[in-house]
Amino acid sequence: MVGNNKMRENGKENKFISAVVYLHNEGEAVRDFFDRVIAVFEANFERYEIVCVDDGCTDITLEVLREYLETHPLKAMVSVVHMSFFHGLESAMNAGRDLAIGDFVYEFDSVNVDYDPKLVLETYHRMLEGNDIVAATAGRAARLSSRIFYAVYNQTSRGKNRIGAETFRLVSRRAINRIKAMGQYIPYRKAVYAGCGLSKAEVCYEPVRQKRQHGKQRAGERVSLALDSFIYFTNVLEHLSAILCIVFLLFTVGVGIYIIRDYLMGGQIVEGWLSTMGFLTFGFFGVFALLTLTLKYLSVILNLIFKQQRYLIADIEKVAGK
Amino acid sequence: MTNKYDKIIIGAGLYGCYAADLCGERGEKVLVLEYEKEPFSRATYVNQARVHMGYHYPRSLTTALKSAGYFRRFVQDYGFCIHDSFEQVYAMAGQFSWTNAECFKEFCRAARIRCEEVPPSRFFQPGMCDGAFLTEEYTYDAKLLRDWYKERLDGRGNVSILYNARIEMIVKTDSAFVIRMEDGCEYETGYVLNASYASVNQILARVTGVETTPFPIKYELCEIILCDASERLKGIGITVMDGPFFSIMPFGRTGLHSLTAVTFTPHMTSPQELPHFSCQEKLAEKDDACSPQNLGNCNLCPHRPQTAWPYMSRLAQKYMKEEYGFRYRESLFSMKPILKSSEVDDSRPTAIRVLCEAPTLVSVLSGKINTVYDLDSYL
Ligand SMILES: Cc1cc2nc3c(=O)[nH]c(=O)nc-3n(C[C@H](O)[C@H](O)[C@H](O)COP(=O)(O)OP(=O)(O)OC[C@H]3O[C@@H](n4cnc5c(N)ncnc54)[C@H](O)[C@@H]3O)c2cc1C
Repeated sequence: MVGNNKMRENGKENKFISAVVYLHNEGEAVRDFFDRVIAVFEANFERYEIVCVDDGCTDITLEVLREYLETHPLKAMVSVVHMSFFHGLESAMNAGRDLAIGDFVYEFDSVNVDYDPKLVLETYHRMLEGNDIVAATAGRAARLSSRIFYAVYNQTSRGKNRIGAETFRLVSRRAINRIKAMGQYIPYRKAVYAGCGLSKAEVCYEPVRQKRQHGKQRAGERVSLALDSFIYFTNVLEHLSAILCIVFLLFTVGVGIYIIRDYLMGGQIVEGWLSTMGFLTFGFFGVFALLTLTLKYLSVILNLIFKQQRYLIADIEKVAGK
Repeated sequence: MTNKYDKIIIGAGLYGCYAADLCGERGEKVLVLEYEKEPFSRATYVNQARVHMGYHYPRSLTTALKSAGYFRRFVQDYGFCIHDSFEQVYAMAGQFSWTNAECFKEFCRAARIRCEEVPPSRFFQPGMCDGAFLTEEYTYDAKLLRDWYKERLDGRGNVSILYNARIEMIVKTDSAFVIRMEDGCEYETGYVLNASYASVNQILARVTGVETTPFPIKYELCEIILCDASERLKGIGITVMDGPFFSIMPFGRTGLHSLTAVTFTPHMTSPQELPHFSCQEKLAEKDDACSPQNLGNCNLCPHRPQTAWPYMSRLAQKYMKEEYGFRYRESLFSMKPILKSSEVDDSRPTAIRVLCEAPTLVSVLSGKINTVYDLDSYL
């Protein structure tokens, strides 16, 4: 744990902090985020940068941002990563995090502030205590569907850390390096961070304001991400097909026993029924056994594809700073 | 009183000195007008000091081939100020890079320049770079080069350098140019070479009697950071290409390393044809005014920006392994004019324009140190 000791020795002043902020048609909300959350950065961190990820904004978000920065000079340098087209939260934030240079990187998936901005410092202190990932999570999960998702996910996931509905999180450079060393592409950050083998902490808070419903992630996107995550990080599908395989195996055996019993008792059965049934169930067993193998192979291939870059950047722009 | 010269050269950077030396050798009577009190006070000293081989321009094979030729010639001609005993590493970042490792290899093969693949894990944090190559590239020492030129030009009776020169205007008469200085002196010549680099458009704006369209340039106020390199880093230069990346490499023979980063080296930009910067207003009252009409020396300016060291050092540390450490020494600032047309292919050509013939007015805007030979056919 050399890294952690060094972090504490050096103390807070020496840490360079990055704040990566996701923007997709936020309108005026950017102003509020900067006024409240970035103000905490400005007051407490000696050296920090802000990386805004413009994920295909088509409204006034960027104008609001530029205007704000002109009237509120910050000590941080502010850059904007313009994605080539709308990528969705996960890929776009990967681009933002890859650009960030900090020792500690904050990931704000939303500019919607339903927490006390001081939470930023609380997560920071938890980090200094020796964690490499610290997540701020709302006390009660917003949606029933989300709760079910996390429950099933945590049951079936391969990693030891649990995930939940996270509002923002803080990741150490060490964790980022670890993930890169695993050669992984990051389709779902939470899951990869949680599974990287370093310690993770959670800071819970009670949402202070009514959360804007649904946020920016559209329903379709959420469902597809949820499905993808199950496929990438859990064995749900492999388990499912293995179970079906066993069911059909049992069924085959059952039919076998039935045939033998019938034969012994010399019962009257329609000609060919037995052989058809036997063939069918045995056939299904074979199909599912093959499917189980195929899924196993697919998951290996999936891991290989993980290594490829999955986002496209149009431009990186420095909007304010030294 | 008017003094007559065969050639008058404005600016004693490398380009001006090279031209003065070449013409002096032919026996021409040459006058160099230099704003500062010493040669090489601006871009020729305050830059990364890389003698380009062409690795920087993987989007333009012509530039690369040309660079390789110039590289060999420059290293031969100026060997006394070249530092070549270090490993120059070029690497492609895993993210953001427009050129990936395969393309780079392909490109080096086509340009016939050294490119020896090494595992990126030797220098970089895991996963940060997807290719690393040992290359052949050197650095030159501007101060050694300056002293060499000073001695050489001083030794030529027919070449004189006027320091602290303040040009007021350049007037074209029937057969000559007359350069009038602020102190009233006048110099006459049939040939003017404008080699004032970042001031190139400002000089052109002082010319009367010739149609002079300014170069289409924008300006960047740049910072070069000089560092003390750790033992491990001493014999190594590292450049991570391209996109928002950085370079840390030996700075001539000074024993120091220069640190630059594409996103952090330029502090301010001015898109106009003449340089407009907010820092100029702070100086306006003083004698050594810096204005859109007359650039001062950014490196000596009391209003030069605060260093971007925290950013540049963090960026480098993010990529490099910990054992390649470095510490802050000092910052150097200079103004970089960038031809707008070259932004697309990165080719940074030496732009040379003949604005008028007999009497002759030539303007040069260089992109690199070792392309100085482009001047030959115009002198
Ligand atoms: C940040 C930066 C990094 C660079 N890195 C590299 C690199 O790694 N490798 C490379 O090959 N090239 C690099 N370059 C480019 C290189 O520095 C220039 O191409 C080269 O130095 C230009 O030489 P010069 O003689 O034209 O300009 P300068 O050396 O700037 O000479 C111009 C001279 O004109 C004088 N002058 C200005 N105004 C007036 C006036 N009104 N009257 C009289 N005299 C005047 C100046 O004082 C100066 O001495 C870099 C440039 C910059 C800015």
